[in-house]
Amino acid sequence: MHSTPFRPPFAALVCAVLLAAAGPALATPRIGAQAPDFTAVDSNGKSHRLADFRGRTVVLEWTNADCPYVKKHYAGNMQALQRLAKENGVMWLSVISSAPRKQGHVAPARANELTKSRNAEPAAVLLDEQGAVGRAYEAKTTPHMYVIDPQGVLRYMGGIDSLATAEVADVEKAQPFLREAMLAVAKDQPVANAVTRPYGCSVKY
Amino acid sequence: MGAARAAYGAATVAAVAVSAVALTATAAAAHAAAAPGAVTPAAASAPPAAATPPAGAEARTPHARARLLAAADALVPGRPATLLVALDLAPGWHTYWRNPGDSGAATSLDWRLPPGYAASAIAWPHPERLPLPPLANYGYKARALHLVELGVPADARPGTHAELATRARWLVCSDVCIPEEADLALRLPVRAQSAPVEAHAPLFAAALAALPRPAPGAVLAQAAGSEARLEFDAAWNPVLDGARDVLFFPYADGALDHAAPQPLAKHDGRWQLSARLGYLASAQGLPAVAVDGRLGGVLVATRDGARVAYELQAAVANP
Repeated sequence: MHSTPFRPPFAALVCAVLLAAAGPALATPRIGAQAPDFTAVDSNGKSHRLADFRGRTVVLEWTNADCPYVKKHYAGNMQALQRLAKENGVMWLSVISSAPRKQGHVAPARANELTKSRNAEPAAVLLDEQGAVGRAYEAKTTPHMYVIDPQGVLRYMGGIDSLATAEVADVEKAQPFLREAMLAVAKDQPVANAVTRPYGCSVKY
Repeated sequence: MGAARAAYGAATVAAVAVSAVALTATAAAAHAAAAPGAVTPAAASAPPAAATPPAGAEARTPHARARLLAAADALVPGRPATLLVALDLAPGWHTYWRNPGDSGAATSLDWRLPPGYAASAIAWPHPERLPLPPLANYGYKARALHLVELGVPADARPGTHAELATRARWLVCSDVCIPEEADLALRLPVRAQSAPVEAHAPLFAAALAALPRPAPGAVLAQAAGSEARLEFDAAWNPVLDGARDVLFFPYADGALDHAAPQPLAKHDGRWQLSARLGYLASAQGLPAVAVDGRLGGVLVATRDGARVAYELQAAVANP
């Protein structure tokens, strides 16, 4: 397990206790119910809890920079969505649940390099190499997207859009499910398509 | 070449001296051919290193050998022909079934055919479950066979030839995934009669044997809490008594949890299979994943040492 200089060793035990104590948070994530709480460390060594973001819309984006489906969306689409999130006061968290030595797993410095080199604008990149956040959300693919409202309620889960291909040309042809859900929640409106098919490479737990 | 007409009636498998299982069970839907015009060798969005190989009956990609094969040596006017797109995969790699499971993408075929010809949807041999804990996919290791029924027009002229072309696209994965594609083309003579191609017979036999058979009885699907229960009527007993490693593969995405165990138990002399609901049925109920009120899929079991598959359309009970 990768350890960062900012994280005291007992924090791992605290995390485990928090997740265990969460009880119902370990059940299937449900639209309209409280989204599973989590504690995770980002690529700058800072620890975040979902509860820290109460009062803001949150987007969770499962990612793996080497997956062809992630590459499809990082040819401009994901970056545009991240900027749109920023403009709307939405907290965008990219999550890497790849286990050590598996595709997509990166050291914190490398995660920051990827953000910079791809002109990505997540508010933070969460390093979830133990897969705790991924399992809590039952994240299956990269990308796999979730939107949580300012009250901590899960409002969207599923695909980034409607065309489950690895072809960049399909981005503009697809219905942009995540974009629609994110803006709806940010504007306190109903989400028309709350559950859609997540597609991509498997999360490399 | 122009676009093929879409209308195509269901028909039984052409004269291949093997199992008499019809393709129609899962291949009834007509599939219109791709748009006219030349097929460019490499898709615009494909990375330069993975350009589509030039068209032929066989093509190689970094992780697969793709072949387009016909069961018989000629096309007969008015008689459907059986075609096969076979993918031989590099060791340790797999491709996907029509429902790929938690991730991945089903292999697709885009046909370019002469006027009057039409290709059916793929008739899929039953898949394996490929676990990737905590996830699972449905697909094929080592070799993936895709059967297609080709409608041949009644006015096809003996003495002429027909060029049958398809762009096959697939996702091939080991612990990482690569999208690949190949343009395959076959030129066959039109004749009053045809004969089976002996060299292809074993491959066609293997594909046909692995197609699902018709269900022997009725099935009811009920949601109970976070699970779905499939209730098989007594007509299934000869199949399920003494069967091992029984697994149900739903067609619809999000219907069932693809990775979860599926305990099978007998109640009052009839078999029941339980499976955790998938993300969509869990959120919106079984009717949300049903098609015409039915949950379709393939039940696979080991009987007498062999895997055998049955297609079923479970009636979804009203909540």
